Amino acid sequence: MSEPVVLTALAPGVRLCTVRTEQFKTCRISVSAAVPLRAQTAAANAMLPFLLHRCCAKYPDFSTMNQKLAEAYGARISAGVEKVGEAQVLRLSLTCIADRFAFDEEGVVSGCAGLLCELLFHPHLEGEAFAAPDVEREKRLLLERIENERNDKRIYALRRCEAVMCEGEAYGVSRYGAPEQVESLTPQVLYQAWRALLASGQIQFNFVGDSDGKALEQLLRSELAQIDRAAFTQGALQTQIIPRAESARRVVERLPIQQGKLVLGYRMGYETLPEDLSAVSVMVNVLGGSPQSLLFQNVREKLSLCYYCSARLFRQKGVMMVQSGVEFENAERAIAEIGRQLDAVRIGDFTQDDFDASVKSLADDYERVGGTPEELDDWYAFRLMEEEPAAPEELAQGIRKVTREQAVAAAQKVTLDTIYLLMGEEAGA
Amino acid sequence: MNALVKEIHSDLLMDSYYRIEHPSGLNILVMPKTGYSSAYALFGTKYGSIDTRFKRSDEAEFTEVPEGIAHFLEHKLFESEDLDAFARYAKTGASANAYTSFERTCYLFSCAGNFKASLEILLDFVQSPYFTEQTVQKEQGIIGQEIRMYQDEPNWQVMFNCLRALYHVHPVRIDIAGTIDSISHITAELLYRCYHTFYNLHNMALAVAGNVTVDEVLELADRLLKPAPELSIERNFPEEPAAVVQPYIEERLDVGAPLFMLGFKETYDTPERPLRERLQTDILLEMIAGNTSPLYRRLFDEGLINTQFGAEYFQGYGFASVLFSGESKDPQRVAQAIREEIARLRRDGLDRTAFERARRKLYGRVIMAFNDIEELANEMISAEFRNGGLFDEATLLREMTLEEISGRLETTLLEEYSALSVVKQ
Repeated sequence: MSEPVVLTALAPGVRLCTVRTEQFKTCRISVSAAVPLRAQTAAANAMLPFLLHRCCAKYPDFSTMNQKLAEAYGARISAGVEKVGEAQVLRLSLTCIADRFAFDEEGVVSGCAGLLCELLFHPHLEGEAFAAPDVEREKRLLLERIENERNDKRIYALRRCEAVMCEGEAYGVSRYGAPEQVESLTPQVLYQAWRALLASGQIQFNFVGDSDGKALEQLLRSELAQIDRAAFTQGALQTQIIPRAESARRVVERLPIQQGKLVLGYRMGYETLPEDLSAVSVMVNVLGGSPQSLLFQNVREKLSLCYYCSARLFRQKGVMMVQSGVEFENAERAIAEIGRQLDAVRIGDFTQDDFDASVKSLADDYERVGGTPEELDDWYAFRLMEEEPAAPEELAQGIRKVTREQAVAAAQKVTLDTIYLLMGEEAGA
Repeated sequence: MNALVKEIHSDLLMDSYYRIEHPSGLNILVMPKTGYSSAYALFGTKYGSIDTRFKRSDEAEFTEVPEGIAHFLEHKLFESEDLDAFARYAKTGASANAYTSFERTCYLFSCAGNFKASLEILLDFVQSPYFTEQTVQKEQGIIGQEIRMYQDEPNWQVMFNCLRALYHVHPVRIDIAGTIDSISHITAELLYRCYHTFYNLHNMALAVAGNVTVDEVLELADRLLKPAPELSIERNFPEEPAAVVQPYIEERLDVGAPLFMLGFKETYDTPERPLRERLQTDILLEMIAGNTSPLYRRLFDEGLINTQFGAEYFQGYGFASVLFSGESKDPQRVAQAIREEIARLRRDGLDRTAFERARRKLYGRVIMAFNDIEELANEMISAEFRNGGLFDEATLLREMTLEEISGRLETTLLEEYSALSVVKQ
C-alpha cells in the first residue's frame, strides 16, 4: 500500500486523516475520540457512540434514520468502543458506495459526510440533556452487551484475566464500564460527557475514498468553529506500564462449562514504549503467533492438548496474553508446557526457520493491511494518539531488521504475572 | 496444454474476471484487481459435512462414512510425509488456513509477497494426501477439543439445535465436526476413499483475486495440476418429511440473555434453490425483519430484541429454511410477534416503498462486497459451484419487482413448519 496519507490539523487535538484512493467501490468516513479510561467515566463515555449513532436532531426517530441509510444504498453505520492502552477510544464509522455506482450518480458520499457531522455535533437533545427514551433504550442495550460478553468464553476469560491482572490500574477497567455505572447514567450526565468529549477529547476524523476530502474538511471546520477547545491538554492520555511482575498469582473461576479456558498474563519488561517494538512483536510471534509457532507446534500438534494455543501482545500496555482451551484435567500440563516453550525462546532454543518464519509472516501481515477501506480506517484510527502514525509498510521494514539476538533479549525480560483458569463447576485445579 | 480462457465483464460493477476451463478438469477463476498489494487464493472442493452418503459414477453401491469426516480430512490434508503445509508456507510469509462448511471444503492463503511460491504450495499439498493411522489418532485429540469448544458456544448450539428440531434425517442436522464418537471411527483408509472421490479436479475449483495475473496462475496450473479422470458423484439422502421434528427445543448453557433461533422449513421437489428465489427471499426478509421494518421497531421498543436480531435464508443441497435469530429475555413472545407479522403481511400485502428501500439496500451491500478480495474469491467459488457468475446478484437485484416478492411470500414462512430453539441460563 502506498496511498498518500494526509493529516490536517483542524483545531487543538483535532485532525483529519485523508487516504485518497481509487481502488475501492466504497467510501469510509469515521470519527474516533480518545479519552482517559477511568472507572468513574467509562460507562458514560462508552455509551456515547451508541447513543449518537442511532439518531440525531435531524432524524430523531431511529426507524427514520435507518430508512435514510437504506435509501442511501444500504450505507452502514457502526459504533464501537475499544481500549487502547489506558485510553478509551470511541468510534463512529460510515461505509457507503461510491457515487459512480448509484442508480443516477447521486451524491451518496457527501450525504454520508453530512450525516456523520449531524450525528456527532447535533444529537437528539431535550434542552441540556439527551432525550430520556433514547437513553433508556441505550442503557438496556449496553447492559445486554455487557451481560452477553460471557457468551464467548474465550473472550470472557481474556477479559477476566485482564481485570484480575490489572486490578487497581486503569487498564483493569472494562471498556464498557461497570454495569452499576451504566444503571446510574442520566440524560444530563451523558450530555455533560458529550460536551466534555467535544471540548477536550483527542479527536481524529478519517476519510478513505476517491476524493481529496476537502468538502468534509470545510464541513468540519465550520462545526468546530462553534466549539471551545481550550480545555484540551496535549499529553493527557498516558498509560501506566508495569515492567515486571514480582511473583505470579493464580486465579481460578468456575462456570458450568465443558472445556476449560486458560489465560496467562505476562509483563513485557519495558516501562515506556521502546523506540522500536519490532523485536518484541517478533518474539511474541515465535512463541505463539502462527501455526509455525512453538505453542502451536508443541501444545497442540505434539501433545494434542488443545485446539488453540496462541500469544498476543498488547503493546501500549506492555502486556502479553497466552490463551488456550483445554480439558480441565490437562490444564496443569498445558501451563507447564507453555512455560517450557517461553523458556525455550529465552535461551534461543528455536530454529532459524522458526525465526525467519515469524519475520516473514509478520512483515507480510503488515504489507497486506489496506485491502479494504475499513482496514485502512482502523489502522489510522487506532493510531490517533500518535503524532506521526506509522504506515503499515514502515512497520514491515522494522520487522525485517530484527535479529535473533534481539528477539531472545526481549523474551528474557518477560515475567509471568497472572495465571487465570476458567473451569467447570465440578472440575479439579 | 490449452486452457479455455473467457473474460466476464460487468458494466454495472465496472469490473471483470476470467473463467478458465483447464484441461486438467479444473475450472479456475481469476480476478486481477489494480491497486491491490495483496492476493487471496482459494482451492475448494464441493464436499462438505452433509456428504456422508455418496455413490461414485464408477461404482454400483452407495458408501456411508462417519459424520465429521470432511472436516477431519481438511485437518489432515495439511500433513505430508516430510514438511507439512504450514511449515512450507512459513517460508513464503503467506497466512494460510482452511474451512469446512455444510457443502464445501476450501484451502486458502493470503499474501503480499511471494504469490507464486504460495500458490505452488497450495496446488501441491491439496493434491498430495498423506494419512497414517498414527497421524489420524493424534488428530482425534485435537478435533475432540474443537468439538468440546463448540459445546460451550451458545450461538453454535442454538443453531444446530434448531436444525435438529427442523430436520429428521437430512445430514444438515449434524455438527460439521461430527461427534467425539463418530470421529473415533475415522481411519486412514476411509480418508483416502473420501479424498479420491471428492478431491477430483472435476469436482473442484480454484479462485484467485487481487494483485495477480491470469498468466502467472495459468503457468502454475499447467505445471502442477494432475489431469483427473472424469467422475461424477451422486448424493442421495433419505427422504426428508415436510413436518418438523419438534416445535420447540431448549438447552441450558451459561449465557446472559437467552438466545433464540426460529426456523421455517421449506420442502421442494428439486434439491437446489435458484439464485433469483434466494434474492427474493433476502428482500422479503429485509422487509419483514430488517432494521427499517415495523416489526423491528415494535420489538425494539418493547425491549424484546437488540441489535443482534436478524434473519437469513439458509439453503443448500436438499435443505432450505428461513432462520430468525437474536437475543431476548422472552423468545416465545418474539417468535409469536414474527408469526403474527407474517400473517399480517399476507393479509394486507407488502408495501412498495419498503420494497424499494430493501432492494436498494441489498444492491448497495452487493457493491460493498466487491472491495474485499477474500469475499470475492469466496463468492467466485460459490458462483462456480452453482454454475453461475459473480455478477448475477447485482444484475438480478436491479430487475426485481414487488410482485415476485409477494409471490414468494405465498410459498415460504409457513407456520406449521416452524420450530423455535432457545438457549438460556
